Amino acid sequence: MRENQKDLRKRIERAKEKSKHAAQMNAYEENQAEDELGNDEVQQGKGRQIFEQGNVQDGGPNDKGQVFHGKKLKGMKRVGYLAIAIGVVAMFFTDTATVDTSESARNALENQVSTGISAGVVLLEEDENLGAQDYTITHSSDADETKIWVWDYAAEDGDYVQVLVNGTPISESFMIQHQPKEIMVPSTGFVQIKGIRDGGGGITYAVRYDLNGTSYFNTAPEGEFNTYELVRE
Amino acid sequence: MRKILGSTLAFVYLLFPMSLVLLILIFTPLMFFSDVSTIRTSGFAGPDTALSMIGLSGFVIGLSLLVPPLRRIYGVFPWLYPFVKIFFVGMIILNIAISILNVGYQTGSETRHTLFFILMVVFVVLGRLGMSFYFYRNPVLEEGEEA
Repeated sequence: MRENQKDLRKRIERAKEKSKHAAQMNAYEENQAEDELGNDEVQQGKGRQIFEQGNVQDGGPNDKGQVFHGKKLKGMKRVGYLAIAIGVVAMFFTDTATVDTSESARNALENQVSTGISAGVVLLEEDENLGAQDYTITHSSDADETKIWVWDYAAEDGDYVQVLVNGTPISESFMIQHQPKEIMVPSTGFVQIKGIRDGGGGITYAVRYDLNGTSYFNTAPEGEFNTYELVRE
Repeated sequence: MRKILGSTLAFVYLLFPMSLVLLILIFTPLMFFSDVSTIRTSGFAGPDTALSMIGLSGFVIGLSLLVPPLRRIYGVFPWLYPFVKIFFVGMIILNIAISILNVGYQTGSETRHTLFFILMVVFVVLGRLGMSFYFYRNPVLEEGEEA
């Protein structure tokens, strides 16, 4: 009778151990299936091995880095999502100015003068020397001062210019970019744009005068000027 | 079959975009001082590639950590995950620092140059301190874990 009872207890204990073990294995495999979708072939038969090795807790790879799991996998995924988010934000703020290839843009490039082009328009991907030109701008504006916008209509390659009025600098030299820089100048006299530094391919810039609504696409040799004579009618 | 395909994909990924990103991560800190020196001595801003570098690295590293077959790379090279984590943050700090200096040198003013140089130094110091504090609170390797 006693022997039967002992035997029965042993059987119950063994059954309990087996069911506990099976539950742990199921939980582990479910976790793996969630974490490693599409990687189940690699997992097959390895869960037991890993479990037996007591490697489940540390989250490390089981062998040669086939799989990560647990805390480490979650950490890696978190870093992955963060890296992608940083990448998206960085790409969003990257300057991706598109070259205007419209009819008016082509005409502007050919004539080096345009009234139909707004400030900041990019006409070329790479710098191309159009030749230095001086202009006389006749206008009927009564204002004492007028706005001009200066920008790089080709590659943003680190060209620097400086604006002078009647030979006197009215601003520090600055790097021309696709984003136009606004400067106030007198509406009569000589406005000069001096090439300070060539970032490569010539100092290509465009200047738009508010008083006649015209943009001029020009090239300033390093250390030399383009002169715009402003004359009131 | 899927295992072979996964491993091949991981190998190809490691060869092309990942090795390029690893080179960027290694060379950014090495080139930092020479980049700063070039800008300071020339007096002109250098090429601003910070955002594209950060964008490219972010995408490539992010994909390698999120796509299960690509994640195998980190199992084969256990040192790679801590390396990428630390150097990616370091690269972001240094690239933003160079951008700050570039903004300062976009205008030819000595005062502005000095001001933005100081700003850059402060940013690097604060950025590195922040990074050290973060990794102190959240160690890249758990206690007892080996790279």
